[in-house]
Amino acid sequence: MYGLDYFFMQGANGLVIGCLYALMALGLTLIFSVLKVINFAHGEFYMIGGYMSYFLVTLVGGVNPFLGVLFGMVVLLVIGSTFDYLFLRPMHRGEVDRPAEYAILVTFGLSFFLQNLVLGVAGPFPHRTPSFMEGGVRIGTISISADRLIAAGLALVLMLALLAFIKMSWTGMAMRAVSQDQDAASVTGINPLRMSNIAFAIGAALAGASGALIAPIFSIVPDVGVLPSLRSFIIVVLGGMGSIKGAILGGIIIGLVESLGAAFIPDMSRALAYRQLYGLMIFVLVLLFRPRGLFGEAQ
Amino acid sequence: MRRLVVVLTLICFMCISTTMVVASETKEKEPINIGVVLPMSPPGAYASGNPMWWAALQAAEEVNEAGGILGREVVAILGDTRGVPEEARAATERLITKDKVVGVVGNYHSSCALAQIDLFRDHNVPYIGAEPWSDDVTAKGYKQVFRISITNSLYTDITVAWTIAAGFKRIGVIQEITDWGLGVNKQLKAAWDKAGIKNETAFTDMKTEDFTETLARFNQWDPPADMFFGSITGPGAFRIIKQAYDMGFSPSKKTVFYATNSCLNPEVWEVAGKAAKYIVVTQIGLPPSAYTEVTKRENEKFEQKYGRLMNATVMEAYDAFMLMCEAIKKAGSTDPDKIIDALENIKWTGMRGEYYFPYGSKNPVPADKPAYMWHQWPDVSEYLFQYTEVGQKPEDGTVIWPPKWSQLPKGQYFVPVK
Repeated sequence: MYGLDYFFMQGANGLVIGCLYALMALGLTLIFSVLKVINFAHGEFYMIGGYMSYFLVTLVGGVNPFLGVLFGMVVLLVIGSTFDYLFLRPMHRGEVDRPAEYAILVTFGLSFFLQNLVLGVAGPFPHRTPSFMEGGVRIGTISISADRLIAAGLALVLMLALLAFIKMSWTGMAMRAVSQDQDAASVTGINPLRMSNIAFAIGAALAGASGALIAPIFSIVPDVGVLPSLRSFIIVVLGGMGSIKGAILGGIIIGLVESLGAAFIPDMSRALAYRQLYGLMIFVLVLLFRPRGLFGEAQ
Repeated sequence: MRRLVVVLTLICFMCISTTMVVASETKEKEPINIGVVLPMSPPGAYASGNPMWWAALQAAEEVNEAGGILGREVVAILGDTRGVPEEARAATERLITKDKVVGVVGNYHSSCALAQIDLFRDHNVPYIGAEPWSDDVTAKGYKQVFRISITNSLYTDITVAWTIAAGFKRIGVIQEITDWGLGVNKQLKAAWDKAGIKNETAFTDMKTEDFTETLARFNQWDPPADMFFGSITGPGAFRIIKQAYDMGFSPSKKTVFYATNSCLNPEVWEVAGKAAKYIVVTQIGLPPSAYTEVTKRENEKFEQKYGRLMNATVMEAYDAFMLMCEAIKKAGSTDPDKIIDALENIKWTGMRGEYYFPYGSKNPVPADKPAYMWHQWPDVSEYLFQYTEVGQKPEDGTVIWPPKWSQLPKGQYFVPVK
C-alpha cells in the first residue's frame, strides 16, 4: 500500500521538521552548556518569537516575513539578556544559596508570566503569520510545502552560523571556555558573567527564531511553546547535555522518528496518538546504552 | 435599682433587635453571586472560554441595568477550569464555599463538567451546562444538573443523517482524545457501521501540531474517502484544514471536509486561509433565518463591544446565565431547592429558542427515552453549513442540512468544490 515515494515523502517531512526541532533545542543546550541552567521558559521564548514575527508582519503591513523572523530574534536577544541580568546574575555571583533550585523556580515563574502576559495582551485566539511562499515545492517525486522547506533551510543556516560563531569567533571560544571551566576562564581574563549573558540571549534568540519560522506553518497561541519545550528537553538529553552537535542530530532523529512512526505504524487508530512516544522510546533506548547521550561527555 | 435593671434590659433588647434588623437588611442587599466555570487559560480551550465569559458578563450587565434580581445586584464570578478536571473541581469548590454562589453555569469541556457535577449534587447547588456534550453529564440524573447544549447522541444523529443522505461510503476521521471526542466517535462509528459506511479513525492529542503523515495515509486510500472529518477543537481544527488542503486531500472535488464548530471563529480564515473555503461546519443553534429578536439584539451588542459575532457556544453562555437569573427571579428566592424547582418548570426564550426541561423530578425520563434527557433542553437544534467564499461569516455560509433549513436544491447535500 505504501510505496517508496510515500516513504521518501514522509522522511523528507521528518527531516524538515527535525531541523526546526534542532534549532530550538540548540538554544536550550547552549544555555545549559554555558550557564548550567535548565531554562523552563524556553517554550515561551519560542512562542514570543512567533508573536513578534506575526505582529511585525501583520500590524506594520507590507513587511517581508523574513524580516519578521529577524525581528523575533532581536526581541528575544533583548528579553534573554535582560532576564539573565536581572534574575540569573545573582545566581552566577554566588548570592543565591541553592542556585539549581533557584534557576528552576525563576525560569518556571518566567514561563507562567510570559504565557499569561501574552494571553492578556494578544488575546486567546490563534493567529498565523503570512506564508514565506505559497504552494508546494516538488523535488523529484517528493512534494513539500514551500513554507516548511524555507523554514528548514533558514534553520540550517542559523545552526551553521551558530557553529561558525562558536568555533571561530573570540566570543564563541570564550563561551566554550566558560562552559568547560568558569574559574579557569575567569583567570584568563574572560568575564563569565558577560559570556553567560550572551549565551542566554543567543539561546533565547534561537528559540524565538524557531517560533518565528514555525508561525506560518502551525499558527501561534499563548501556549504553543509547551510541547516544543518538552521536546527540546528530550532532544538535549538525547544528544548529550551541552552538546551542540548532539542537539542538532537529536532534533533530526526525533523529527524523523515522529514522522515515520505516525506514517508507518500499522494501527492507524493509534499511530498519530503515540507520535510523542516514538521519540521518547528512542530517548530511553539511547540512555539505556549510552547514559550521557549521543555526544555527551563522560563524567 | 430594679428600675435600672429593667431599663438596661430594655436598652440591650433594643440594641440586639436593631442589629438583627440591620444585619438582615444588609444580607438581603448582598449581591447574588452566580458562578461561571470556563477554561480561561492553558491548557484548556481558552479561545472558546474567553468569549463565553464575555457573554456571561453581558448577561449580568443587562440583568443589573434592569434592576437586578429580588432587588439585589447580580455578580458573575469566574472559576477558571483551565480545561483540567482537577482544577475544575477546585475552582467549583472555591465558588461554592468561598464565594457562596447560588448557582453555577458554564463549562466547555465535558471532562470538567463530569468532574464537577458530584460537587453540585453534594452541595445542592443548581448548575446549567452551557457546552459540555457528553451524555453522562445529565444521564446521571442529578437533580441539580441541567443542560442547554446539545449532547453527543443528538449531535451524532444529525451528523449521521446527513452523511447517509449525502451518500458517503468511505469516511476518514482524525479524532481528538477527550471525553467529548471519544464519546462522539464511539457513537458515530456505531452508526456508520450500522449504515454500512466504511470508516476509520486516527486518534490524536488535541495539542498535535502536525497531522501531515496521517492525512497522507488517508490520501492514499483507493478508492478515495468521500468525506474527511477533522474532529478536533481549538487551534488544531484550523491547522488540520490547511495541512489537508495543502496536500490536495480535502476539501477537494473527491473529499468533502467536515469540521467542528471551532471553525465558526473568524480566525479560521487567518490560519487556514483559502483552505477553509468549502469546509462543512456544524453550528449548534438556529440558522440566521430563524434568529429571534433576542438573538439579533444580543449579537449586535456583542459585536459592537468585542468586534466579533457570537457563535453557538457564546450564545449558550449568555443563555445559561440569563436562564439561571430567570429561575432565581421565578423562585423568588436564592434557596437552591426553589431554584431547581423553578428551572424544572421554566419556559424562557433566549438567543437559541425557548428553553424548558420536560423531564425531571415530577416527570421522570420514560424508559423509551435515553437517560441524558433528564433536565436536558430537548429543542437544541443543529445545522450544517458550508463556507462558499473566503473570509465569509458563518451567517453568510450556505446552509446544507437539515432539509427544512437547507438552501440547496432538493437532493443536493453539499456544495461541490469547483
